[in-house]
Amino acid sequence: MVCPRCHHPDPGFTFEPVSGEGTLRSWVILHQSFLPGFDTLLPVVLVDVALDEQSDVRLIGRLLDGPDAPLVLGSRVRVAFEDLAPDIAVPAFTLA
Amino acid sequence: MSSPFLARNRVAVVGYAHTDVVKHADRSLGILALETAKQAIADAGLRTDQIDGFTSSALFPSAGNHAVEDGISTVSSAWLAQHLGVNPRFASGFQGHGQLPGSVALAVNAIASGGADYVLVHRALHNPPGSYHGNPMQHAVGAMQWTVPQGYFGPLAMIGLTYNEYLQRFGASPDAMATVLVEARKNGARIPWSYWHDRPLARQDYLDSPVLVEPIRRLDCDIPVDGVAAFVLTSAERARDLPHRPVYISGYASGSPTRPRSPLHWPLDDLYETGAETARRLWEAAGVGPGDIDLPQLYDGFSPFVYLWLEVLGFCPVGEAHLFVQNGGIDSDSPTGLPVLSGGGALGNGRMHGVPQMLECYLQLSNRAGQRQREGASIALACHSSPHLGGAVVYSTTAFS
Repeated sequence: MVCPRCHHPDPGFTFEPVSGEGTLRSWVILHQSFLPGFDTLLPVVLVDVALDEQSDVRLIGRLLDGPDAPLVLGSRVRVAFEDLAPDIAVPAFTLA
Repeated sequence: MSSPFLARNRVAVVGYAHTDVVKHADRSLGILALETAKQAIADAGLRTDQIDGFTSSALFPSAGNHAVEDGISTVSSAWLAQHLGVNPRFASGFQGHGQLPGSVALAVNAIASGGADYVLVHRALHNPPGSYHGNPMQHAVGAMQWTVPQGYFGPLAMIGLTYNEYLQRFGASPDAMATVLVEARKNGARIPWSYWHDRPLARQDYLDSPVLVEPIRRLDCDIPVDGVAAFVLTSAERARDLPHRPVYISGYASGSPTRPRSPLHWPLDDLYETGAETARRLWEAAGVGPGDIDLPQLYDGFSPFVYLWLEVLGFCPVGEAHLFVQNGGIDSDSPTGLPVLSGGGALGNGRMHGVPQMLECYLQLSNRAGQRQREGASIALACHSSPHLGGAVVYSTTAFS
């Protein structure tokens, strides 16, 4: 692991809690998935979110508001985890 | 200040060959590549045993779980040299994006340094049976673990995110892209070897094309094909003794590292910022600027690349390519249009990964375009992949210094 800023090979990263709030940078709507297991969920809105705490940290997740949600660049979103399995949760978002 | 590019116009393209571009060839990709290589060598007026350098990229650009096998789904330079029965001084593969400009750069460096005298640059693309990008994976590892569980996967989602950011930021209409598709297919329809030969596209056909990963329609994507192209490069001095008019390589540039990103995450500003550096280095190496380019062949494997290259290379202001295109700016039949897709591009030929762009530069500048020959083009440009990760090459009819 190398720090993307100072390029030190032992950056000593630690986990820090974040607010779960962020800003919409772009989105796509899947009408076809190239992966198994998504067909019954289509259409799926996937959003590219810049975290409030550090804008170059981006997360991509489903927007749970559905395909008709009124989206614009800069829309405020909030994290809402999806539980895929008993020990697996992935980040998703809702409009804030 | 970096050193000047010493190889400017010291290496030339002196011959080529190209297969028909088809959905599925009736022979293996390796056999097609062997035949095409031999044709290109003969076209250049050379014998196979004179070829002492080979460069290419063996990337098989599918997100599916297809087996990758040299000679079947891809063809490396080493495979080609071995099966041609030659033992080259230099055989190398380019590993970055912008595979064809990168392969040309390797060849130029080898020739200009004396590492090889005659280099065969080839690209072989395969369309496997079944879904090209579909992948039945049940587990995601590596960088994909951060996006696949959410459903973000493959190049359509990747370019869709970039393209939607463009549409939203600049208020562009998705329907404007119809002009790009109509232009690519108009030119592709005139090319006998194209998959789309004799099949131009009506604007409404684009608008009726299914949306796969909104805002990307099926017709925004080039169609996967089987096809091979090969080019022979040598020094400007040796080129004088060969049968065809040499087309000199004035300069090249490949993309540079961006900020740390997931491989399929291409924020629009990365393409602009790093792409501007690609363009700056290209102009510096070649000693020309955008106003000097008669034939800018822009990469279009996904249609939004046309907008992005138009802007990054300085043919129109950032954010205005969608207007430039709608106002007839890329109509290759108009005296005021920039012929950016005159060779049909990927959208008008098939998924040949930068080959249509390079081939059109070579055919037009060597005066070998036949019925499609354009008048007065002396400096051309071929680019491939994205402006931030891909690359570009400038070609010239004269060996200016």
